[in-house]
Amino acid sequence: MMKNLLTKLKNVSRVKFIIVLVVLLLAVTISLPTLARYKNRIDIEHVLTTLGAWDGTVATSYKKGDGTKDNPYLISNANEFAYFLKELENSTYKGKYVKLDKDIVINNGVFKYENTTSSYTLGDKTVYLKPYTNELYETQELTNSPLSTINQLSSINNFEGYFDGDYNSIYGLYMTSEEQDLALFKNLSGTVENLYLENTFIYGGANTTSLAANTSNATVKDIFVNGYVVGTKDDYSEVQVFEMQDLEFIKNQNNYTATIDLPQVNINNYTNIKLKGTYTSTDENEVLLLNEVQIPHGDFELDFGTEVRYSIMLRVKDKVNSTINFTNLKYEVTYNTSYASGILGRVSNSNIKNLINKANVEGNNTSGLISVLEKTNLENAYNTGMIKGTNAAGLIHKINNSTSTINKVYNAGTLSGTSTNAFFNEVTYSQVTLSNSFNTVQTNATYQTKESNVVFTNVSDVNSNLDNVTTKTLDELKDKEYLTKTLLFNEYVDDPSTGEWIYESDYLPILYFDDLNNPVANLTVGTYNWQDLGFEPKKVYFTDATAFQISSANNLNPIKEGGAYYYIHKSKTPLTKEEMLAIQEWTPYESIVNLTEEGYYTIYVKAQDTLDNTYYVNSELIVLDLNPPVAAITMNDKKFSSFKDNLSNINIAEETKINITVEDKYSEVKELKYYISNIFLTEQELKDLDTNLWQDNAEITLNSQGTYVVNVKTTDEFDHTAYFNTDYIVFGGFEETLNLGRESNTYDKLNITSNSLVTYNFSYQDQTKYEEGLNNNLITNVLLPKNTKLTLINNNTNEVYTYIVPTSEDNYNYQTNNYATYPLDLFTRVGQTDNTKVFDHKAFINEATKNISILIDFKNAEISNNFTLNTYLEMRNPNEIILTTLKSTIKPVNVYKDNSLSLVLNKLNATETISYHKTTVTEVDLESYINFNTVNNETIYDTTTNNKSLGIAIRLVNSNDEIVSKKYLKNVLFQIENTTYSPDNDGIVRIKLSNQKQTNKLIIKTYETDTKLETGNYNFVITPFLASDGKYSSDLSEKSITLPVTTTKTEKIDYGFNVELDENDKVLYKKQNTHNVNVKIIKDTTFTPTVRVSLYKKAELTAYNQVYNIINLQEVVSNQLTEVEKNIYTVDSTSLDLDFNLTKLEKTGYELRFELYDGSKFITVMKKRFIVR
Amino acid sequence: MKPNKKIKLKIIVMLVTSIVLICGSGITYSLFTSSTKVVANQKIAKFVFNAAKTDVIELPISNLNPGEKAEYTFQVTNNIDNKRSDVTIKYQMTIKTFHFMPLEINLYKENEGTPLLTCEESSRNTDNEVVCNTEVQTMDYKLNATDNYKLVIEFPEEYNDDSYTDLVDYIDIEIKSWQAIGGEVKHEE
Repeated sequence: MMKNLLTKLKNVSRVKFIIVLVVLLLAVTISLPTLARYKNRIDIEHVLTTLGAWDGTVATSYKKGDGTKDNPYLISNANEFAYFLKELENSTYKGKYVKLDKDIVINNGVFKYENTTSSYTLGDKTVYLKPYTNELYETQELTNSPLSTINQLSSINNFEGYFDGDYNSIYGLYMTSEEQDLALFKNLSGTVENLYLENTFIYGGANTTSLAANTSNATVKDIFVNGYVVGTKDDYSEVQVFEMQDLEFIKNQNNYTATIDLPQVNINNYTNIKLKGTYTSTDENEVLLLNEVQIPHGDFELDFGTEVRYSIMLRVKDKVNSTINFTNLKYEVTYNTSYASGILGRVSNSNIKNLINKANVEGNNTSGLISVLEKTNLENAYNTGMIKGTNAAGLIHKINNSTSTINKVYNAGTLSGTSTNAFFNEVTYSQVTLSNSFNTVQTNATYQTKESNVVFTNVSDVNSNLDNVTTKTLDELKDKEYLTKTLLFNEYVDDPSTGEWIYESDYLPILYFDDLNNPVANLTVGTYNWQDLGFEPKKVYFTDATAFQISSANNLNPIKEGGAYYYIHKSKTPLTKEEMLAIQEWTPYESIVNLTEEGYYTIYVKAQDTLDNTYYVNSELIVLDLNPPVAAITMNDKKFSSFKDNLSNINIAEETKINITVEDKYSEVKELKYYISNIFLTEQELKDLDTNLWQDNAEITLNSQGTYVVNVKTTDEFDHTAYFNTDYIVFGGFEETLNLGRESNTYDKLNITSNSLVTYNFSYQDQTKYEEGLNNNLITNVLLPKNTKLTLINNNTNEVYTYIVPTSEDNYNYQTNNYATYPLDLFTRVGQTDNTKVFDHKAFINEATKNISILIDFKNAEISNNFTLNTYLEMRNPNEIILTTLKSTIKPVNVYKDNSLSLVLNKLNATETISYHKTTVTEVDLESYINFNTVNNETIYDTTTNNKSLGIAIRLVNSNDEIVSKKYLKNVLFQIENTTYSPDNDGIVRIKLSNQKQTNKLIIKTYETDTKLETGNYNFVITPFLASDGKYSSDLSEKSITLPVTTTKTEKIDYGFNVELDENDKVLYKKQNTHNVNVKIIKDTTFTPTVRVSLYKKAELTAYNQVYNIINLQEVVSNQLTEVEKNIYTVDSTSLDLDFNLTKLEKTGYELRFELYDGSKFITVMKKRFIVR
Repeated sequence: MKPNKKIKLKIIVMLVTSIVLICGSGITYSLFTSSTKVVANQKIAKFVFNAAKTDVIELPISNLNPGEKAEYTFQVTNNIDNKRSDVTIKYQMTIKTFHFMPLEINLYKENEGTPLLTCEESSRNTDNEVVCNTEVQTMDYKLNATDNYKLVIEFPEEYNDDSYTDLVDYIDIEIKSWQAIGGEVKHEE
């Protein structure tokens, strides 16, 4: 069968199976100690194998916990136990909870004490321990140098907390000292329960025991001890600390005396009394005597010897107003007695229950359980260790000053010594009831009493000579019926509330947490072995496939042929006893059964012996943890739970959070860390990654553009490690910019009218290459109205495409998706003879730098309601979006169907009627602006105004509103600031203004000239308009300003006036620096003419604007001129020499103006132009 | 008493047209002026060899009225008096003007209907000049070559307005030439 089994397995499994088999066989051969188990207590051998002894280091924290009842500090190894001891140097842990999570191994060799020799066996080697040290020697003689040392612990001084061993063991505890009190806890006022002290060796001390030397107001329960307790000192001191009362001095001449009361102490068997303390006085020279013995200032000690004192006399000579203080007063009484016991030393006012001692005890006054009991009851306890001493008691050495009940206890340990007693050696000042108890060994003495009364109820002994103690044989004392019915040793059924005692045939009863005496079946899984039932199993972990085997535990009472069955329960929750008893599908056991799948298992065994007695055994909760923890990396709707070698791309367009969770069904997750890279890393590269780069798990936020791979490492408590990764997460996308209108601009609010246009620009750099099925779509949150014009411009190729929305029907999947999709291949090319050429997705996608603009023009769109438009670009295949627009760049724009706006032109001042043929200057303050609509005080922009400028058109109209011809406008000049404006050919003067609200001063100058305009009433009509160049537009606003004008006939004046400029003076070259211009002025008038000269510079560098602006002539010539008006100078002669400083002139065109005046009356002007180059 | 002088409607324009030769090397140019309005024909020939200087030729003042045009013809050649440049020459022509007059300026190569260059207001250089460049032309050393050009300047009729009187402007033609060697171009400054 084995051969068939082997051939069926694959090679790897075959090897594993063989290894498991060999281990099991070896386990059986070597005969692992098969201590019976309460609640399937874990084989300590397994603990030794897996954990090893303490390495001497101290942990820096507990495994976990905060010390509360629901979350106690957990100690899982000797290092953490050492940390616990260290903590107690500074705290008593009052109110705190501590719990053992696993067995603790202090030393893994086996101690033995025999005939005053201490030995230590590790493996097959036995060495010898030097008393009061931790040194190991080769020989019993302890010669030569020590071979090595073992771990030694010091007592925990004061503990007031809660210590729960959780039925775990402290194995190999070694303590030695010459101090008086020696035990794991020196002074215990807290709670200690559910603890095994195995292979314990306590050596030395005057009050020596394993668990606690002094216990008061404490609870001790469910304690098991085996090993050795050896007390060596003979003297035991008791120290009473007391405080000095106020001293009342009596003066006698120059002596001052006072009395100090001393504490009452037990004066039985004492050998010495001392008084110790500290004396201080404000008078340094003071002499003070205690008991007529001068004591020094500072610490003192008075030895009274054997003299018992209840007070002493204090005397001070020549006391002069000093202040005397006594502190640290101690009254120390030394007794000629020492104690050694199995579990507890001196106990008072405590709750003690369920004690098992199997340790051998040696010393002076020795006992199996407790040295001195005061004001405390005891229940459910027994001793099976060898008790040896001058006075040896099976259970308690002395009961003192108590009213105590001791119930359901027995002694089965051998007693040897001068005086041996079954239950106690002494009872003093006490009232004791011993009930339901028995002794099974020979004794040679009767306990001593003093002022006490002891009552025995239902007490049996194999050879007692005590009154009221029934003599019974050993067999009778093993009888279950007697024990349960008479002595009320109630049987443990399912839990301690039913009873505490377990019965095995032909054995004394044991407490439920003791080891079995007579197992029938072994259930062995790996190196674990169980022989008992338990329904609160602990977890045992396997990190490899394993197997289990059933065998007989007792050759004298084996499992009968075919009498072994098993049931594998695969669940985290074990069966109850009823469920186990109800199992129908027991499988006959034939040979080793493999466990290869990860999971929870409890193996139940039913075994029948040759007498058809049925026994049940079960394992602990086996956790077969073969795999590391599984991480899940989630991002939006994507989840990654594996390690991928080939990564795809996932695009995100906005800040994204990534969460990492981890699960390990079968063991604790020890570590979860992540590392973000921007490239793919192999598992080996992740393994080799510097540990400092791995970060503790936390929510990850990707908030900047880039490419990311999130790598995760998980490790369970068995160091199974796994790696996980995501695809490439590419945070990127089209960057969208939005402009109202065509040009780049900045508006504080994005509100537009329904005849406006918006421009979106989408840009992105990437290496995406076209694949079949990839398309680009324009996405909008609303269906675009019918006749909306979309223009697409590829800014790389300058190709232009358009699409006009032909319908208001939903041809764009709006109802389905809640957004409308406009594939870019709806757009057809313009400027081509072939208008069917549509947008080429492939070419666009292959561009490394993508840059397109999409203009959405609503001018002709059928808009019936206001709406908010959100638009973005995406690239996708039929299954998923590959690239989209960065969400942070998408901006909404509000479209309002009301598209009215108005041009505002206001005259801010009063003016008079202009006399046209006279010299007049009229100033008109004009306020102008474009008035957009608003909503909630926010401007609604009309983008049709973007490339238009506000201007005013000035017309001279007659009474029929007909425009006066330009030929009649030669005597009028319009000026704003330094710029003058002339009428165009149509007689209209057009002046460009700012679109922003502003006030301009329009100056209208008329000159006294006969223009031949018919006499009559006219008006200057000033009308605002919008035009692309701020000048030429046919759309004039309805609103105008009217300035009345009258004309009169002017007097005709004859004159001759000319100005001549040499041809050579028409082009001036800057390289010359200076140039003299001579101008001839020819005047022929009937009046006394005056000539004024001024210089103008060309306003714009273009042929299409012949406007010139006045500049200061004096600044560009070296001649001294006479100014008559700002920048206007007089010419006194018939020629004018102007020495131009060409460094002051720019390379442009200039105009000299010569004005002829009759006094102050303007007659005419001659203009001469020249250029500077 | 002299009568009032009327402001003439015709445009009096001073147009200084010059051809500037820059870096002439192995080429000659000849300038002719002939048009409907050009005052005189001038033929100017000059042979420049490895020169690194500029020449300016000024033409007489031309008057142009709206609706009128002026033409200037010139030649560029690599030989004179039976002497030919022994290197292959590349040259480029550049028109510079203030363009303060709304003139249409076109440069034609001989007998071609479409202009080699139409110079319009676009950008200006730091001297406020409108600058227009032709494509680079080549003259092979193996052959005698002569390129004939005609510069046509026209004043559109629609600018018949007082504001365009007494304007002054200029047009420069620069010819920049350099030696071409195999696949490399040597550009001598």
